[in-house]
Amino acid sequence: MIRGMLISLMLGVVAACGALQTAQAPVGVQTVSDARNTIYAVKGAYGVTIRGATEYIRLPACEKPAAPKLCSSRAVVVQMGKARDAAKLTIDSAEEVVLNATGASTVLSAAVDAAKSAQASFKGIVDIYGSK
Amino acid sequence: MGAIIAIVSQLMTLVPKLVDLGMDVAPIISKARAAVDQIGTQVSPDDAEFKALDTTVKAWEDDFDAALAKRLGE
Repeated sequence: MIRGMLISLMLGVVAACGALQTAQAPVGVQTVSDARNTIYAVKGAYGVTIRGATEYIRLPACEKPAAPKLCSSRAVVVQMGKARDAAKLTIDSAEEVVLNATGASTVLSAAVDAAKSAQASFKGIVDIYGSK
Repeated sequence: MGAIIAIVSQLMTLVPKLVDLGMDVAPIISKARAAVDQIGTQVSPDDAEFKALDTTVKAWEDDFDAALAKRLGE
């Protein structure tokens, strides 16, 4: 029960991050300014997701004898690590593209879209453990 | 950023329920709130603001990596 509430709390934060991205991202990035705003929001959402994931990882291990109700699964932790690595690589690359852009382009739009997708995937890992 | 407010609002909605269950949520909530607060509310971030966010996120990444290494080493 308590574990479920904690998961709900974390999901709430991550869901709000999703709303953040949606609110900040126009349909199809048209300008460098728009792209900068979106990448900034995505990076911030990624940071908040990292914080939530870290708190989960620091919970006592579920695999230990007499594990408390609030615990972290090793399998989920491993998935979180992989998802974080993928998200970081994509978001950092997109940020570099956007910060060095001189004008609107399809590459700019693609970079922003990739960053948003990467953050969404990272968020998905939290959804996985939330369903257990 | 209205969404920042939404995050805080979401937290504040859930905290009383957790407290009612007798759970010590202070460490989790304070860190989550600090994370949200540090994102900032800039609408058009300049290079300095990007650098500041990068620095903050880098610290969170390092914290994540440390926690991950410790957990997987158990």
